[in-house]
Amino acid sequence: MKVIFLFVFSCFFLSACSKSGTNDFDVVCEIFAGINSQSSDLSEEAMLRISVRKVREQLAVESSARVSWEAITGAPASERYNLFKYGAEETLNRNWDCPMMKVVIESSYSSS
Amino acid sequence: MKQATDTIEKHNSVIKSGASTLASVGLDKLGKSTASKLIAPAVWTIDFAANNKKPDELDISLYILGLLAWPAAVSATVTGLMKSAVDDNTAMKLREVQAAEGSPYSDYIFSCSSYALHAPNITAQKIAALGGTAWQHPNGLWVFIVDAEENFVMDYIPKNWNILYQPIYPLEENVYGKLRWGIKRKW
Repeated sequence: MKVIFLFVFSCFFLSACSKSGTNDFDVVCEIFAGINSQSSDLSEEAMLRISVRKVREQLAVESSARVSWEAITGAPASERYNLFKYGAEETLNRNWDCPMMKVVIESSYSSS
Repeated sequence: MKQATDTIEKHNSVIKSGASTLASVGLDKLGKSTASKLIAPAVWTIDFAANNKKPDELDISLYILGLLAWPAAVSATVTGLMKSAVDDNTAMKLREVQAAEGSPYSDYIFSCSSYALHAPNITAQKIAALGGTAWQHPNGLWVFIVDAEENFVMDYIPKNWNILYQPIYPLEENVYGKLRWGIKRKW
């Protein structure tokens, strides 16, 4: 009986643990926060190179955040943050914002 | 074969009940005879009456899993119904977009949600970066167009749109394998 209870409890516990609070868009946000803390004035090319490398390291190929950021590398620099934010909000169905990401993206194209 | 037969014999109750619910005898075994009066599937009861067999621990485990699965089954049904409603809504909006574009293009216009399992706006970004034209119709639906060979169409100008994602000429691929694309908005 104890074994049964333990099994059922474990199932609930594992299922609860699998729903962590961090989503892939927040992971991208953290990547940009990390980039910002290391260097505040990257060129556009360097910003894209570092961010895409880190996104590819940390997110699965099918991740919506990764698909979006990779597609956005082809979009006009001035639109990148808003495009990513729009996709995040449509996916998460709530407001989403990442001021650090906005700062890094904007400073990269203004310094280029 | 004998092992399989033994297993079937051992878990006779589960097999007979089709992994659905537990008979009162099972709850009796768990020491919950009052509750067992409320849930009394016939199969296990008959099994108990005919063979004097109570469910063993595996049977009970499966029953508990079955109980856990019950709300999931209900929510799956609700999700299914909601999905049907969403699909109907998408189909209705798509017909509206196709009607707006007219023949011969209408047959080659599809909803972005049919292309990938991302949010439609993200799929539209992806399509533009791959060389296609995607747009959001004023009814809110994100769509894209292909040619007769199911290739993306780079330079289609829709008649009715709010936001348009489209590659920029001259086509130029970046080091990440994405084409340069632009955005047009009607506001």
